[in-house]
Amino acid sequence: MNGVLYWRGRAIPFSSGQTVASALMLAGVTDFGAYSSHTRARYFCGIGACQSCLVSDQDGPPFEACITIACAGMRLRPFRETEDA
Amino acid sequence: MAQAPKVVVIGAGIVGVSVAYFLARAGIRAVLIDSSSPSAGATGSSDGAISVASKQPGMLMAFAQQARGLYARLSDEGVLAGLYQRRPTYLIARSTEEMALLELHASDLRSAGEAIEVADRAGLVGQIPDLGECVHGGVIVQNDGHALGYQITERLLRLAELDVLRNCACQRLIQVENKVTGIVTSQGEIAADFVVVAAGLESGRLCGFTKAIFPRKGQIIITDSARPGEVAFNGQVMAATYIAAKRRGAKAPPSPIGLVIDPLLTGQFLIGGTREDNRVDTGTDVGAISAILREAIELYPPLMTRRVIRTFSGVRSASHDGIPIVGFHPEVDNLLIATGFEGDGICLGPLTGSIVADLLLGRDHEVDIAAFDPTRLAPSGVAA
Amino acid sequence: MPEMSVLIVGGGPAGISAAAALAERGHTVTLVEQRDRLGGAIYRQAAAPGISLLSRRHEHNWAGLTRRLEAVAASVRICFRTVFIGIDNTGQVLLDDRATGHVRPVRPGALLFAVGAMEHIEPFEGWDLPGVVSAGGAQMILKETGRFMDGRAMVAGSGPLPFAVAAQLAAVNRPPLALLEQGTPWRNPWAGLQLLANPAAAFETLSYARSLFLSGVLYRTGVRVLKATTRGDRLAVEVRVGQAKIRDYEVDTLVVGNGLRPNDVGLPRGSDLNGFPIAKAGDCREVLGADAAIADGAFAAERLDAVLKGERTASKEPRAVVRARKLQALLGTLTGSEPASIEDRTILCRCDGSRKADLDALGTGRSAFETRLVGRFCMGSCQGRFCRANVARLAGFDPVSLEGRGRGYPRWPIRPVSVAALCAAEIEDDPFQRRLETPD
Repeated sequence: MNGVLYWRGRAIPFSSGQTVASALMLAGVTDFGAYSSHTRARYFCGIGACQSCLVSDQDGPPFEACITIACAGMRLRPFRETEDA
Repeated sequence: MAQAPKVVVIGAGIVGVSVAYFLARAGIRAVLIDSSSPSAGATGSSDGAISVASKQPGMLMAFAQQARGLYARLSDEGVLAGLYQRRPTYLIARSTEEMALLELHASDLRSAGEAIEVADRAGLVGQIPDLGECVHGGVIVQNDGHALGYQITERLLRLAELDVLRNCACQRLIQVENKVTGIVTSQGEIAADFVVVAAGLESGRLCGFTKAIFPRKGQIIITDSARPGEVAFNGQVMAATYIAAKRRGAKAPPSPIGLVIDPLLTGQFLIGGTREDNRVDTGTDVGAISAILREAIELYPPLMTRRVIRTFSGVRSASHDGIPIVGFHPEVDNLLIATGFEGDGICLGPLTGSIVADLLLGRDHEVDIAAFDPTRLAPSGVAA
Repeated sequence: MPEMSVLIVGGGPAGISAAAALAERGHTVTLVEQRDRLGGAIYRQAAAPGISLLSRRHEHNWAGLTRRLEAVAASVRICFRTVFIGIDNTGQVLLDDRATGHVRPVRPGALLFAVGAMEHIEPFEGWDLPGVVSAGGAQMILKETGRFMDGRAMVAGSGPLPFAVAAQLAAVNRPPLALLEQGTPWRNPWAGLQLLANPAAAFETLSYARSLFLSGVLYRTGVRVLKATTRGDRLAVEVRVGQAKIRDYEVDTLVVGNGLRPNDVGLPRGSDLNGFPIAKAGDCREVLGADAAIADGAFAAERLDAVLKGERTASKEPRAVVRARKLQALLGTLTGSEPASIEDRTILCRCDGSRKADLDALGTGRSAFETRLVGRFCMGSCQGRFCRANVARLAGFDPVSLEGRGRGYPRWPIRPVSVAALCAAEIEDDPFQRRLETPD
């Protein structure tokens, strides 16, 4: 069972049961967009603790990519950027 | 005075630090003590309103204007550079009744010389897009400002190179024939020619005004930022219920929630708050936080996409007549008191500090604070 | 408010073991897990079949836990995608139910934390960059997918975890360029020999070593990462070998880790502040590994059961726990190393981008409270989970003092929670609502 989600409009394949974070990372997306003024969002701890891997699904609130299961059709974007940069 | 008097200031919140700062400017280095550390009380758990808009008409409103003016002056002089932002306050009505109240308040503000704009819904949405459907209209108070208490306190401490004796709790005052001569602290005795008590609720016990001051707790919420450093809108939003509470003065507030949405410079939101009398704990409860947020998202729906990263409470010292307590103690010589600011301490703190310093030095000051005089209160025995 | 006998937070070995043991003793249990399946970090299940990286021992233990849980399924309610966010001022335990988008306040009869360990990360300049992942984080991807990010990887740090990750990378045919160990295990031959006395650990270590050797992974000891910078699409990693020599690597992924520590961030210290007993089990209490966590979960269940029934407990700590403690002490001696000095420019707090220089600029004599309030350390979204230990060490504080506290409990939320979920909180019989109706 496989699916496709979208990161800034780009199709990212995943297997059922995979987290958003591993889908993005294995597709070569390591930079998840702006975080603080000095840092970028990125995958790091894998257990929801470090809060570095936040992303948003369309206009929704940010969530941890590492503990969230990928769903087909998710339209993900950096949580602190509205436009595709 | 041939020799500089020895002054002890009890409490390193914004009021005590301001007193010490203005004394330092006059060449007197006070001993500043705190039972915990600077800004550990109400100063560190408050919103950023340097606001005339929220004040009770009359003497308090006039005092707040002067207090805000001092912020502007200290900012221009460089003392508070970067820490004070001039920005409007938006008073928001959600019904015609609330609008009537705000219009009344606006006329009082205008009489006090404030630049006021009464706006309908469209006018407000022009300034703050995305306001909720419930917003009926409001009043824009143009010349208000924003500053964070702990940042002001930190800056004044640094500029005056003031040391704070941390974890030093004042246990009692030492008196000789109705004159204070020092204090007893958890770290020993400190002799003093003058003692300034700016210790919030503790001031009541130390100065014998326990009946005049009571705690008022306010629960506050901090969200994450949409984009770091990008402020959502350029002023603080206050619900009319907050104004209603203020206009009633010391009387019980009509609603335990006085909604304030304060966009911080970091891009985060500070959302307040409850008004809970006689509660001294600093915890927060999910019922109150949820109730505040439900009101907040009605007023400003984009908050729905934010996350709450912190909740906390400030415990403020309120006076029963709603008026701060500032001046010489009615029965004990050389003892000054400055407390009872409730939620207005950040706004009023620096001006109060300069006035107390002037009182102590026997200097004239331009601001009339006769109404703040502690003589109006009957002391019930100084902690001696 | 729903009646709840025992609430267990965390669906790893300790949590499942405790849930089964409590249910076997007649309690009803609610087990909350932040992800959508059980297993925790150690038994994280593969998204596709046939790619498991679990050792035979772990497979066996996991199967045992699953069987035990199935046998008591009627008494254990499992809530997936549910995050514990703290205890409020009125003693309500707050759960962020992400499946429904509601915060649920509950009043359990007892509360058991089994939330696993935290990774310790010694910061260096550039540790905050994309492409740098923690050893645990790397393991999650490996276990979940049997794959790893394209390009060159390098593993650096100290202790058994980086060692295991490097071997697991080799096992999926993605051997890292190098495994750089900060410590110098070879200088402790006696500890190395003692390790042989623990057959499971010795077997695991040797099989990892064999896998690394066969894949030709460069293993160096006494090496520290000094700095990582972005170079094109890659990371340039500067390391120091021994005392003086500097080497430069270019990699796509840098895996870092300096061991595990108990996860106590935001957890209450007391055992029954609000009339219900609170306990901890597994790695969040003491980092002893999965096998010990199973025993520790059962042990915690036994004690909670006694407390709830008003009986006295006389039981001794399980042997598996005692044994694991000895092993961990041994591994500590074997791979222990002094924490590195931290450069001024190094980011300590990634949430707010605060650097070591910002901490120094606060000056001396500051309280932990001021370090938070004025310095803004430990105030970001991760609530200090990754900077607290380092800030505490540099400034000389007890790490717990860097935690915001309410009445007896750490402030909630201990994890960020959406405004929408709090607005939708299922609040019944709430003290504040009562005050709203009858102001005092």
